[in-house]
Amino acid sequence: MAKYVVTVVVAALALTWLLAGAAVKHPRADFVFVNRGTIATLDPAAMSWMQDIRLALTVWEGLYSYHPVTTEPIPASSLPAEISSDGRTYTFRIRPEARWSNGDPVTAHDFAYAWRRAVEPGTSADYAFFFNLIEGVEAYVAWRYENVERISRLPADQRIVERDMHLREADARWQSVGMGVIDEKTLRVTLKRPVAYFLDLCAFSTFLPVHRQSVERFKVVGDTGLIYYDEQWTKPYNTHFNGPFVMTEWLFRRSIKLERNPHYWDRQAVKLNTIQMLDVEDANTAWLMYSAGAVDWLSSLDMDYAPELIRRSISPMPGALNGASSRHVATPTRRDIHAFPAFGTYFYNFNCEPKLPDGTDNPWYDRRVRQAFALAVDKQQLVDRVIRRGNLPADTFIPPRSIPNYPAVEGLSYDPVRARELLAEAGWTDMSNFPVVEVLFNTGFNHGQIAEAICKMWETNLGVKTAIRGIEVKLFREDKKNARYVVCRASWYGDYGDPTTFLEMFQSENGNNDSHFRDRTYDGMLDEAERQPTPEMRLAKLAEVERYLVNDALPLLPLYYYVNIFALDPDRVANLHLTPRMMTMLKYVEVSP
Amino acid sequence: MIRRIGSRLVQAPLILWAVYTITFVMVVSVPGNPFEHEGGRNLSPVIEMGLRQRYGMEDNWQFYWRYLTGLLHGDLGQSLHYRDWTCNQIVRHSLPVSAALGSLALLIALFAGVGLGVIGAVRRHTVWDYLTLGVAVVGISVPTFVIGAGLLILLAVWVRLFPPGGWGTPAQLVLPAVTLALPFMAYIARLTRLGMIDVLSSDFLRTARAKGLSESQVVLKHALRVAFLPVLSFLGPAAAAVLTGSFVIEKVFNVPGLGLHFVNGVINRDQMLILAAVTVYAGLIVLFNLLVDIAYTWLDPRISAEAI
Amino acid sequence: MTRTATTPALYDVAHEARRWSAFRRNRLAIASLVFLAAIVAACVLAAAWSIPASNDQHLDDARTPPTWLQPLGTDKLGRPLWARCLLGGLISLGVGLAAAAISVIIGTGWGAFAGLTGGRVDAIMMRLVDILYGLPYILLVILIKFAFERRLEGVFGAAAANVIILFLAIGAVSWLTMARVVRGQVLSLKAQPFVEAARAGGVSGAGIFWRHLLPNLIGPILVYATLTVPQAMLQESFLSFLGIGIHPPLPSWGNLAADGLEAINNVQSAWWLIVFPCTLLSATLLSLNFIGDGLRDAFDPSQSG
Repeated sequence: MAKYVVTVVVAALALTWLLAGAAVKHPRADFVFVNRGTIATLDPAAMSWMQDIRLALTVWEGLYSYHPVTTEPIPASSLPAEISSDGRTYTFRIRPEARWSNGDPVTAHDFAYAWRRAVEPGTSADYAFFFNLIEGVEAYVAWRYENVERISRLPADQRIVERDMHLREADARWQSVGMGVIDEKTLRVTLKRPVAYFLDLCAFSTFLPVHRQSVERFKVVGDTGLIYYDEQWTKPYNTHFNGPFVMTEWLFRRSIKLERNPHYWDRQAVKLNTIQMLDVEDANTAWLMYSAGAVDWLSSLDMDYAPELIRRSISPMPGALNGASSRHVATPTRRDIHAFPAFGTYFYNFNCEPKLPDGTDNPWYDRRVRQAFALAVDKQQLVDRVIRRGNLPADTFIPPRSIPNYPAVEGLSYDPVRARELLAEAGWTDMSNFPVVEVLFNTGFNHGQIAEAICKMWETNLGVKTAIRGIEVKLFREDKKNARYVVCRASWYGDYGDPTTFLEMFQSENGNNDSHFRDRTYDGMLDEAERQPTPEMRLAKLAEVERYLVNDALPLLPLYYYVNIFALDPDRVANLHLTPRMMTMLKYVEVSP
Repeated sequence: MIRRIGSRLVQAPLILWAVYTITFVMVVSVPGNPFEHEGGRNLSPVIEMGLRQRYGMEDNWQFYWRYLTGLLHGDLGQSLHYRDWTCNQIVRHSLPVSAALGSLALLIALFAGVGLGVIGAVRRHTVWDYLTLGVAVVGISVPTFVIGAGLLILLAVWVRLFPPGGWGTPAQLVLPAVTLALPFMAYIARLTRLGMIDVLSSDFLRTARAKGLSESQVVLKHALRVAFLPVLSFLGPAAAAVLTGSFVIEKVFNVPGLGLHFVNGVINRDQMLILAAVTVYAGLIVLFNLLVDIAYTWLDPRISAEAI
Repeated sequence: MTRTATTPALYDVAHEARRWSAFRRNRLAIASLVFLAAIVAACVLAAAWSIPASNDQHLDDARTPPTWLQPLGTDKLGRPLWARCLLGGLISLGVGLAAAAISVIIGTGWGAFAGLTGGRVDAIMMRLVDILYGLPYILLVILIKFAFERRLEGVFGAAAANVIILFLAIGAVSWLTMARVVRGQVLSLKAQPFVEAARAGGVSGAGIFWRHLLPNLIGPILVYATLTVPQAMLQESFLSFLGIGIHPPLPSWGNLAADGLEAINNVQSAWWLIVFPCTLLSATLLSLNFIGDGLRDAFDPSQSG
């Protein structure tokens, strides 16, 4: 019996040892960071999460990329673009020395291929709509969808023939889309109308090139004509990269390892040799790992005690918010905590449909009621007492001073007296018949606390009855999208450096307009802005649009601007900048040992 | 014995099929769209249609049969949330992690638990007995995430004895395995102690003692063999619990195991990953129970295979 | 003759009295019972105060240590921890008891039916139990919760639905051991002469169950019910740790412990946030376990696991 026991024990231990992968010891990478949130996908065309984009910008490089400090678009794989006098045609010459990690030169075909992939319906790209700015794309995509649907309704035996015919025609039609390869190194793009921020878009992840020969091997043509690509192509052993780093290993929800790309055209500028990105689920654990020295950079601090860290922070880095919060301690000591403004806003949506979900009339259909509710919230108090991360209270939608040359806009500030006046003007003198104000949010973070605090304010200032409803995020998304709420929480981060990234949300037909706010005046004002002759006049017009949005129309109740928090030792890690858009360019980062 | 094992083997696929079906029904009843992001942008209906066509999920019946036939070929499907990964890849990466963690934890629980239980029984009302009681108390009453977080900060941050979570080196195994083992260790210690006390005072051992065997031989060879039986029958459900309950530990120590993927799969409504995880777990549990059955009949001289 | 048939030999008042006195002699069990009674009383009686106080935010006084005014300190929103612990206890114990009750009802019904009916039906029913035993139960709890919570919300409101679905889900997977135990007991009782006598005397199957079997089952049922409560409470705490148990602002010892976990860090130690809820939870779980052990020793000393 003893012999039996001993054998079993030894075998089990050996097995455990092997399974745990204990045999190999890995040296620590030059730079280890926690990229908050698991990588959803590494297909640049399909990605929409910040952590995916951050990684994609490290291993691939677009025609343009972001300046590490100002995040303005700068030429990258392309030489500076030639823009025609009418502002509609861009000619990009690819750098002669730009290469893929296997030595292949980067060509205009790579970009044209990648961009076509991004608009193809089968790729299911969230940001495919960016390409609608290019002449002919929108029509092409609509035509593709129509035909896919038509073919899907055919009996199975007729499909293949129809499909092949359709795909041949699609290739022909694509030639007339405003995107063309002039020669190996030249790409010409023609837009529908001049777009001030097109170069900014060219730096975005959706516009990144992919290694054509690698990706093409994974192409699958569905029998209804949808073309997709088996996502296995994003594995490091299946593809090549043209960015400052190459991916060498990707362990699911564990880590990604990067090494410097020896074929990168600007390799002199790249200082790091190896990078490791860790995927850590629990915020507290991530902080403990950073404290133990296992991690060099935490890209966000979500623990409950983060405000305490911010209170103690005295960051030497430019752009950091120090002493902004009224609760800062007298002698701050932490040089490694950096809180800085982000390019995003936290707000509440008002349901702007004529009827509430339960069928009764919707008081918020009258914008005076919306204005009243906005005036009745003391945002400074909210920020100081509930959130306490040094956020600034928001009266506008777009974070101030976040877009160069964009005029300042002011919204409604706290005025409970005016709020009650407005309610009376709208016909609400007796609040006892007012429906219960129910705030919908997704559980987690501090949405519930914010909701409670705001509800208290409304109760006190307006005399309404309130309730809160916290549900799980997937269900919350559905209710929000379908306007099955009275008031719900929302947030938005800007995707590119132009006011329209925020303002378009409230256009009547926009797919993200969860308030269901339909206002012809608003849509008209946005169209007018696009017709302005100069960029300055355009921005001035857009500022007018925002003024209208946050003073008059108010489908939303802006609450505060987001704040990002990094943890890193500024004396060891250099060239990692605090940029609101969080497009951290790891290319330039340097670490001293 | 052969007959019994044979009948269990025949029943195993039926059990797995029943598990798959029950899980499938629940998975498709959970409200929430697997394709909708929780991020900023809403999903357009055309894109959703395309995705459903691609994965064979246009209606539930089609989904059920396609997935089942896939299972029979060893294809666990495609993660709907992490589209760059197939479920096979995910399971292949994370199951060994959970299994290693779980088996190490079970081993620790077994040896430490039995050891403490035996010592406690043999040396009643001494320091050892109270130690057993102490471990039992902590193990069954303090939630494991509290113990885990406590150990993490004590032994990985204040005193940098172990790495603060993660996976890949032997040192990273220790803290999570010990934390996971604790409740089972407690229970096994109690079971063993009670069983030993029973046996030690029974007639069963009189013959052995009369034969002149030394006390330690009596204890280890004969008494333990009998007292071990309830522990053994506990091992079946314990293995199940260890494997499936490890997600709490996985979250605290950042261990990339299957438990955490399953929980996130439910939260993300990743229907294929949920089905894959449950099927894999059920398969393992069925296998483990079979092994335990075999071990049980082998070890117990008093029970014949046909009884029970 | 009739009188003997209706007085089961096993349900002997003197015998019962002996069992209870055996229990009473177990001092640990009695002490635990007293403690548990005190906790339950405190939670229930204080409800009138703890319910409003548990949501009373004072953001300026967040995270203050225990003082005379706030005997257990305040949490991250300035809410008094004493109130949250008491209300949390009410909810945790409530979930535990309700889950145990459900598992008793399902398990006893299942096991008794299987045991009494016997034959094919019994075999099938117990096979199903074997199958369900093999399922990863916590996974099922999660799936059940997600599948049905939405529907209950419409009927009961979000907070109540949250609690209800939790104990329903936990109860729905905890009845298996109960079923096995009850069936075993029923089988052994079925073979007793008094039951055959009752049958011969013309007593119906249901009559046999209610008058002859159930009184003898109470012992084991009580034992396993008492042991199911702490398991259910622990499961609730795990789910709350993952964020899918009791949703805030409703407190439970589980989610208080999970929230308090962040107190275990090297930046800002609010030790009271983890120590108090955890101590209460642990002490209650222990007492339940000791009581259950004591009951088991008294009612069925031959069972060792």
